[in-house]
Amino acid sequence: MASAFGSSRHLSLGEKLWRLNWPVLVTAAVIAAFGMVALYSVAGGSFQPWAERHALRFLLSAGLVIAMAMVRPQAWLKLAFPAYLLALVMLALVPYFGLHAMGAKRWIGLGALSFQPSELMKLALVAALARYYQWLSLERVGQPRWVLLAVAIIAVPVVLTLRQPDLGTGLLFALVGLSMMFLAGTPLIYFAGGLGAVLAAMPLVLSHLHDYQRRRVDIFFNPEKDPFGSGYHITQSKIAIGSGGAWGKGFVQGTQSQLDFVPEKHTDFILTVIGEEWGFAGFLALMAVYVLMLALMLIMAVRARSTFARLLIAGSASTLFVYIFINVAMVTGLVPVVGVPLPLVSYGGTSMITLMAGLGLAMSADLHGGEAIRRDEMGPFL
Amino acid sequence: MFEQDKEEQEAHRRFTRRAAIWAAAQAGAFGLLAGRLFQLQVLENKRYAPLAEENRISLQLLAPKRGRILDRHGAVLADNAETFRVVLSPASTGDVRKTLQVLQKIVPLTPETAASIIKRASHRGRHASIVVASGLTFEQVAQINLLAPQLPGVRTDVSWRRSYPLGPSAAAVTGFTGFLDRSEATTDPVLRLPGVKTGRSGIEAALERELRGESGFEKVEIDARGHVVRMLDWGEPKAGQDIALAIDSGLQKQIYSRLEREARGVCVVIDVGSGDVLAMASAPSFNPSAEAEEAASFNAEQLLSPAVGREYTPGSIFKIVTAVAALRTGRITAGEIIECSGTHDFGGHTRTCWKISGHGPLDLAQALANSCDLYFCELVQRTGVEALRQAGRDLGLERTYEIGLAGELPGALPQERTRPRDAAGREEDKAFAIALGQDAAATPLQLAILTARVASGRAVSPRLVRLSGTPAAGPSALAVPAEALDAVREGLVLAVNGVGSLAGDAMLEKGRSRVAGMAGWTPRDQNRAPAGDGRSDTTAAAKAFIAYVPAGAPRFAAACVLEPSGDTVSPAGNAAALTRDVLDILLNAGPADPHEAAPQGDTAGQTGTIPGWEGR
Repeated sequence: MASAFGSSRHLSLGEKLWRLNWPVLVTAAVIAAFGMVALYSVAGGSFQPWAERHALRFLLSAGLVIAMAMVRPQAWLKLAFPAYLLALVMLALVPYFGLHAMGAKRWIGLGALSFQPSELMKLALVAALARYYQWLSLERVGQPRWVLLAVAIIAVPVVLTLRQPDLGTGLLFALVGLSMMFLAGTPLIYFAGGLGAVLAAMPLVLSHLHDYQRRRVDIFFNPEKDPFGSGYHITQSKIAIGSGGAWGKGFVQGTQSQLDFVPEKHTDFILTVIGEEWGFAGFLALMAVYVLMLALMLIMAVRARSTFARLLIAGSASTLFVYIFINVAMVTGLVPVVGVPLPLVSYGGTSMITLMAGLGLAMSADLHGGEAIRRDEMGPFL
Repeated sequence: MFEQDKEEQEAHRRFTRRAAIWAAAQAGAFGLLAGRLFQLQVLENKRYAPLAEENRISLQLLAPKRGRILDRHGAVLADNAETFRVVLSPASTGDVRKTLQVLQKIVPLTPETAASIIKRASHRGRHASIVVASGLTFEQVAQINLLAPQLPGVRTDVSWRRSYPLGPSAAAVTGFTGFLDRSEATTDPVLRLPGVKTGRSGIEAALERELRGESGFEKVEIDARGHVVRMLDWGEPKAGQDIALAIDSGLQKQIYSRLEREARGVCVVIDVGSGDVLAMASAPSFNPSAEAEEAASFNAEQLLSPAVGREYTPGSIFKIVTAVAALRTGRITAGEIIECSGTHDFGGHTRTCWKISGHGPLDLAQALANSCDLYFCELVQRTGVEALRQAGRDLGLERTYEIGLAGELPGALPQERTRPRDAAGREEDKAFAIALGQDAAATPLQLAILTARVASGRAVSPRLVRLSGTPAAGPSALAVPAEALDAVREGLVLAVNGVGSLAGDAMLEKGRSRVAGMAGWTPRDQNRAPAGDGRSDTTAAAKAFIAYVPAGAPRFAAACVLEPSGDTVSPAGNAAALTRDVLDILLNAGPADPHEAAPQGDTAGQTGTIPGWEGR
């Protein structure tokens, strides 16, 4: 590793490729393979229309990851706040320029291109918070005004996404942001106080939820009352997963019977397929690989030599974790349906790209981890 | 530099510590998830264990039984009749066409119906069910179940069809139920079930939520052909509430039959003491039991209840309001005599009474009984619009009552507004139009309330739906002095019973109770002034009659409005006669008719023509 005095020795391309954190990339590939197998089954034993595309997307994303990893983290440092502001503006504009898809306005159409600003924000928020704490000196981390500023950085995107309405992504931002604050060393007393405030504000929040979000929470407690609506997904999903038993019904078996009742099984409810066909054993196997990936990322984070790098990696890992947790909890009926995919397994291009981009940021920070970023080399914003 | 290094190391240490905690939390969360999956897949799997290979679990919503609509004695106005249906589930059916062919041997279907079913089977969600036919006989049901192996995805069930024992006579009150249009959004999943209807008008629509109840569910294991193998779990549906109305179905039926003989009309009857709406009939009506296909052809007009949804100019009935306003503000006393000579100049405008030769000297009661235009024009000028509005409101006009029917209109009272000037620069004078009741609008319900308030001296409010629990305290007294009301009532009694009375047709036969009442109508093209806000477009030219009975101790108040069909201008006798018949029905239905002895010298029971009065 380079010396702690912040040498900016440039590495050659070959050296960079050598230093790349291949284990974590391979692990991601294994997870994507799981996904491909499941999608093959969902399509009734065919690579079309999902499995093949899923694999291709992953390969392209992997290329993106490697490319991003080559870039020095200083670049991400400089881009962090601008990207955040850009994403913020776009999120704010969604109600005016947005397109409706599936009853929610989340996309901005730019001619042929359309993309979700919230996806950009997922990366930008992590980068911005990491950047923020890089700049903030240690003794300031615990001071109220800086804590409040961090909360504000998180809160604005949360509010904007809740308006769309996108409960799942809003929740993601909140949880990832809070975990980054925690990892940055914010004193625990703020978390205790914050929890208290949240509990107190709960009635207000509930009254501001969109009608269909409130119904989701309501149906959560009585899923049978809406068997053809969102309570349907959960009840059928639970039945399907449950019928898988310990060892599952076997490959491509589940989709012919119980799973026929589960909609969206190639996206949010892909775990249902795995649960029914591979049983508890299959589920554990997938979780094990996820845990491995998170562990590897954790090691990367601890190894890094600057706050920015550490938090960037940890933030990406947190994003991954929150996705996994919410999706599994949702599909098994622990948490109301909020529309969050299972990372790298669910079919869906945008979320895979975002996740992999996050991995790319992390790998970039890890690869160049030897270079500490000096605080006096940079101003507060750029 | 060193500071920075030390700080950096400290930051690193902190991070590592926190990261360890974060990792532990994640591990805990994974443990929770694993535990949940374990619960679902290992522990609870036993519950689903005997599941055969191709069997699956199906979740079905159970429709709740709709609440009934009852009258004041508990007689049923809207009920649920059991009907057998045959239902198809495309997901379990396989070849829909073949299955339908087998089914047609038992239940004949038209080619259009069959085609439509096949089409819907391919479009709808695969697990939604389609009602193939309803109203099956028990034999048909038995045959279908016998042929079950040849009819995959087909099942029979019992459902309810809404029935209306009173049919068209109560349709304006009950309303009817129909299917939701697919374009209409719904938050209640029950409405997506096959055969579930929702209220479209009347009480059915207004109290939909109470009538509907809550759905139940059943979780069953079904085999590959969609036939139920066993029941796993269920939740009882909660039946809708029965709604009791103040309506008396016997009265409603009789009044409707009488009304039906007229071309087009509305009739509202109120109990003066409680405000209970005893009957609310309108003609022409429609048959609420008509099947869904016909229901689509109901026009918008049939969907509203005319008793609250149509406004009419009250015509001369408005003179009651004028009288109350003038008496209350002291602009006139009951005994003051004003002479009607047939024409008069009111501030530059020459006005003519309907009786061109003039009524001669009149006190208030006589003026009301003779419906003298000039007398009341004088009163309007003396009293002013503001006091008129106040009196009108106190008598129940220009407001809604929220009695439980949709589309209730509030009516209107005359307003102060800047008036256009005519060629001579004089302000257009509205007083005459106001006096003739042309500048106001009221629904039949409001006319009935006005009658009840005058009759009782209390601020009676209408009550259609009887709510459970103790009724609130009775209506408060009207803010009108007793002498004023006495004078008005005297006028109303005189209008029906006096010599040469205008409304003599409303009189009941000799020996029966005395009726007090008044007619109001809009003669065509006569002194017709638009009632502002373009309202004249919606108010119809009609004949109204209000009455209460018995005159001395009022029990019932009635308001009847007749609209002429075609171009005939019928004399006021029609509406008055109609009201008389209605009152007759009312009195016959109740307990012994409390007769009143005719007062001395009163020639009640005589009708006569007024000299100079020609069919107006």
